[in-house]
Amino acid sequence: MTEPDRPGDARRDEEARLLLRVRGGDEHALEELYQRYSGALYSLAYQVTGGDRFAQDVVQEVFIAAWRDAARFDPARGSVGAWLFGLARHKAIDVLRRETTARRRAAPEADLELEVAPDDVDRDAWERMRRERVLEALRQLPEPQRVCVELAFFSGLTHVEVSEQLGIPLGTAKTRIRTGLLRLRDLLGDSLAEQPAGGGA
Amino acid sequence: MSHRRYLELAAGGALDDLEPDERTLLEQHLGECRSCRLGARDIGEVVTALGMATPRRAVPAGTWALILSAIREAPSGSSGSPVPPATR
Repeated sequence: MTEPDRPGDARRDEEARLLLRVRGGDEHALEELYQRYSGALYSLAYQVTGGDRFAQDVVQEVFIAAWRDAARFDPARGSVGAWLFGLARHKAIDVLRRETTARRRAAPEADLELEVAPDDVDRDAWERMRRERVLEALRQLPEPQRVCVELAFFSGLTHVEVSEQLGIPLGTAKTRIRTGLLRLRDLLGDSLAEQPAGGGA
Repeated sequence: MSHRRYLELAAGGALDDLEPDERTLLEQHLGECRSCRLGARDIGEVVTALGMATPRRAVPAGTWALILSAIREAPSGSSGSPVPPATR
């Protein structure tokens, strides 16, 4: 039996093929992925590291890693997008390790400006709509879960750091993050796999 | 262990927060359970959706050029190939 087709499968397959070409040494395929994801990856890295210099380093490291380690990507485990965001989060946390972050971590929620994007270079309405849907789902999470997910994802805190920051046991922090992600999956449902009309090309 | 518990592990895995024994449990189960495999894939999409929802800032000009010059010094697949060459 094969896995069922869903709306996002075409995009997912196309990007997996792009990464296969990257693996074969095709710079244009990497550039295509760069065009699709660099803006979001840079923005996430900026959010996590709180600095444009660091964020640029992260984006470079992500695409250089994607170039070198394309063979490590396993399409059965997830999409290229999820893989790139995972790499970015990892690299952003590495960057933070190398830098002093006391200032950034002083106010956990103060630097999360998820609802206002002062420097928003958003391209199309579809993307704005999709983003609004994600933010709305975040708002629907029970407060403790939302805070933990935001700290773990947008502030790039490790689970240990989340528990320390909030003064809660590590097990509680982990459970809130995991349960929060699952709840987001339920809230977002089929919209997770949607893509703009005409595909991403 | 229930499917729900495995999905919680998958959520932990999506943010790189699994103990080695948890990872082994998860991998084993995903290998044999299609519904959890799809669930895990959706959780990956949640991570992507969160990433795409980050307030946008403009990538500094010249970033791609820096990447291009770095990769031209390093051939693709230069590290971490899981398939060792079958020579002897």
